Amino acid sequence: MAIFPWLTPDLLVIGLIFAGTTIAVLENWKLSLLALLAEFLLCGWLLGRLGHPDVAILVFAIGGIVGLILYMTIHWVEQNIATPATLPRASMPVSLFRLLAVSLVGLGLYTVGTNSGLLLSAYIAGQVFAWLGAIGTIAMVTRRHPFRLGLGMLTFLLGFITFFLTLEDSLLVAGTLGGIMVLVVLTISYLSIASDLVAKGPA
Amino acid sequence: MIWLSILIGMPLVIAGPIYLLRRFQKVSAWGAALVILALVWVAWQAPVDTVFVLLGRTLRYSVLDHLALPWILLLTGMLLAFSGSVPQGWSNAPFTLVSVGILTVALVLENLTLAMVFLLAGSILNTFLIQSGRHGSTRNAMAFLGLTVLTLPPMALGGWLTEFMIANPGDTNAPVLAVFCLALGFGSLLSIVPLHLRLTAIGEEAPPAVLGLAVVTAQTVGLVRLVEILLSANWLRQTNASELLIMGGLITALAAAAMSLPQPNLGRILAHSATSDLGAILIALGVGSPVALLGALLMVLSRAVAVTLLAITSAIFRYYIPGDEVSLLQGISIRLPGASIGLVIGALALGGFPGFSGFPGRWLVYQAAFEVNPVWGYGMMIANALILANFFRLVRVTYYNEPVGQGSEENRVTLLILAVIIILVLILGVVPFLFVQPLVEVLRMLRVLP
Repeated sequence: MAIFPWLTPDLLVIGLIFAGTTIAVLENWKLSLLALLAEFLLCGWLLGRLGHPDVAILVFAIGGIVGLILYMTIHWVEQNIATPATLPRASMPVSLFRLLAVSLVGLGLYTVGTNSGLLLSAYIAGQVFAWLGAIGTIAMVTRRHPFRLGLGMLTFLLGFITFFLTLEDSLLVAGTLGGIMVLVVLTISYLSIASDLVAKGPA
Repeated sequence: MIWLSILIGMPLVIAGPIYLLRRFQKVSAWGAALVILALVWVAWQAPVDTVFVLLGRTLRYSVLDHLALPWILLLTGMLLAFSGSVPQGWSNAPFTLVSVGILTVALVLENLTLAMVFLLAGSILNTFLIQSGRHGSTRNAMAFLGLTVLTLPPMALGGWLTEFMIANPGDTNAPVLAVFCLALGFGSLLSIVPLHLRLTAIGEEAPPAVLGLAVVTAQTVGLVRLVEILLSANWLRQTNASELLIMGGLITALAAAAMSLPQPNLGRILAHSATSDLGAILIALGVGSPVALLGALLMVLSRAVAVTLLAITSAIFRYYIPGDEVSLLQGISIRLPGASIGLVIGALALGGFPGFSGFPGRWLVYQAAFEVNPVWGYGMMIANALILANFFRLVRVTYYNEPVGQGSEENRVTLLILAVIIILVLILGVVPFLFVQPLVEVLRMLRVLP
């Protein structure tokens, strides 16, 4: 992790906020998936920077598995049951509303965090959990389709796991939390297909 | 070591072949049921305090596990066998097996952080059971999954902080945070009001047996782990954990009972009634006296069997009529006499009526609560009365209305399973000393009783 020394933890957090906002606001599933992978990359990088290189590699690996499962799911849906009802697109005002929601929560979090000292750079993992947790929750609340709602869920989960692994960095705990993440992804994939099959009607 | 390997490994290994047989629902359900029922014997025979070290972490089969696991497995086996004759979705058998394996790990793991994570992993698997192979609305399954994911941070942090407190007993900040996290985590996992949406999400759309499985497996394991934490963490006595448990329990008992009244279908009534029953258990755990703890443990066992019976009854109704709305149950006792008897007995058991399984535990909990503060006792009694009144309304609909259709339609296997569970309910209610004696021994071994 000695490469890219200019990539400071603060910059990584800004990158995570940007990626999380992409997931919460944008409709394009490919961009959202790329943003999720970027989150895994940045969280892994951050954990490496904070002195947990083994756990960081595990986070990269889990990110790869998660990305692969989600890509295969959505690709299968598009190939086999793609209809106008599949992954419905939101109108511009709805996206703007989501951006507004993220901005408002972000502003609130920043104000409370800086005044209380919780968001100071001394405890960067706490910041990651706060930001990704908040953005992930917004995505969960404002989305309806299992795939998009699931991306919010994974953002929330990744924020917590990054934070928790700085407290308890044993590989067994990291692996178990990674297992939970894979389990959640499999459930999201299953529910995405189950909800989209209705659009196709009887086989 | 071999005992724990079988208890954990067997369901996980068998889940694979059972998954391959999922399209043959009868075969997969009966196969899974036989495996689980065989494990009842293993769990009963396994010596207490058997230790198994896996990847550097200790798994210990404690005296409480020895009490709870055979019971959990027995009821799970019954529910699986039942789903062989009344299908509950293709995912039921394989995912229940995986869930049982994972929850067994959660039960016996000494490391609390990992145990909490495994507990949630087992719970996440219930999402597959809720959807149960249906296409279409995934709203309830997603709601359940989302709420379970949100439960992970408080549970994992609560477990980690509890271990931190054991290693650093002098720390003054951690106990407050630990109690907050544990209250939030267990509150959501056990569906305590106002965090009860997980259970009602199951009650609304999932096959009824899934509600039974959620209460019998994940909730019972969660309750056992909560009891273990309360008995082992001495630092909790210096916090307001007892008050939190009692207040949470009282609100849960009363609010869930009140909310069960206007519910339109049996699944939701059952979910709210089971939640109300949980409130009484929490009050007992908060009171913490030996009598209260004995009552709480008895209630944990009786609640599982009563919910199993009502879940099976509800599943039979939903199988033979196009839903389980109360309005559709008019005079159903003529068509489905076995299930209707099951409904009456299950309702009396969950409502704590004398002579049925819920009574002995409740009686002890009432005694303990009235000794400390009569308000808690009266609160529980009001909740209990509301639950019973609501069930009497149901029984009245099924028995005292013009029947829809004629003739008995239940098959013999279903009736046999129903009969076995009814016998268990009656044994627990009529001869409770059969269970009280072993429970007293457990409390002695845990040094709650001299």
